[in-house]
Amino acid sequence: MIAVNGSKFDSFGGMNIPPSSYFNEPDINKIAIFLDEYRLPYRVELNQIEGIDYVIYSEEFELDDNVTMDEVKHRVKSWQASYMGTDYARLVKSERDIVLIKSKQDAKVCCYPCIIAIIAAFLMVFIRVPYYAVMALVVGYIILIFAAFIIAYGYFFLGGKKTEIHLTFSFEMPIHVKMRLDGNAVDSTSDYESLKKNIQGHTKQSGPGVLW
Amino acid sequence: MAEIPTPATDYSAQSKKRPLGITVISILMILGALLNLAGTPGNMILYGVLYGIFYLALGAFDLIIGIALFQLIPWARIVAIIMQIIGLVLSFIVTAWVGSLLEALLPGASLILYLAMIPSVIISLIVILYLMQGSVKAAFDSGKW
Repeated sequence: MIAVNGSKFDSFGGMNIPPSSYFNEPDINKIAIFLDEYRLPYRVELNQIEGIDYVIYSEEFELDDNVTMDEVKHRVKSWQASYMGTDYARLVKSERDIVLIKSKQDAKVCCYPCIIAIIAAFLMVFIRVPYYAVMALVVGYIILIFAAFIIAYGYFFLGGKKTEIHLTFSFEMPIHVKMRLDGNAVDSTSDYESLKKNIQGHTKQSGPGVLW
Repeated sequence: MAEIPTPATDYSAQSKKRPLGITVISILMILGALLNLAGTPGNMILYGVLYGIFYLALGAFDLIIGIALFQLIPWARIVAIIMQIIGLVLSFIVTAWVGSLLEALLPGASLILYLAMIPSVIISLIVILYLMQGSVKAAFDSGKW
């Protein structure tokens, strides 16, 4: 089931949005592209049997009149330095357009190509080649090993989980912020919320310390 | 009353987080470079001084790029991509050249050589694609803004 802002898909913001059958399949990306045209905040979640499988959040808000771009930069950087944002790297597309990316690669997968190579080398010792027919077997074996090696290698480098938070800031004052959470973001909704609060300046920057 | 800096306000000491893939690529690069450097005396004796010096320079260059990648120095990513592309082009040229030489002795040799090249070409392409990903770009560019 696809939920928009917590309710079923065709009842978003009281607007007449085509039912989910309008889209050939429950493609969350297509729905997000469609909803982008409304320029209203939305939260799309694809719920399946195991729970929420995929989320896209998109929101727009304005900051206070006195908040400058330098202050925004400070808030984003301070969030990145915090516990929640430490895994995020910042890709600067332009002064007013940045993407915060969290990428996680499975360290276990990293070992698979090495294990395949070691097992393959070990097995090669026991393969003898007395006839051409067996030679063909060895060639097939090598091709299989290479294929497995390449698949493991490709999966490790290109198959990691990525969460992206796109941030766009307007030039005029007060600064208008557009935030979008995308990618494998199911586990990152709390990161998104904390960043949003930080940008809006709703976090406590200081408090009573130990040396009061 | 003295102010105590909290983690939320002090980001000056923020360290760049190295992606695991970059760690793997840089370590493999450094190991390969060290093997190249270790083989230099043997190369000089077997194939001549010029060839040995070429391999020494190649090893030193790979070592520098490997260390720069490990330290997330921004230019290292671009240089590593360029090196992978040059390596791909060179391997095609060498395969075509060796294949044409062997073709006279052994018909179909160049086809076998091209087929043998496929795994290394795919791996190079995977590395290039990985180095061009936004997350890797971001890891190398984090200092800006």
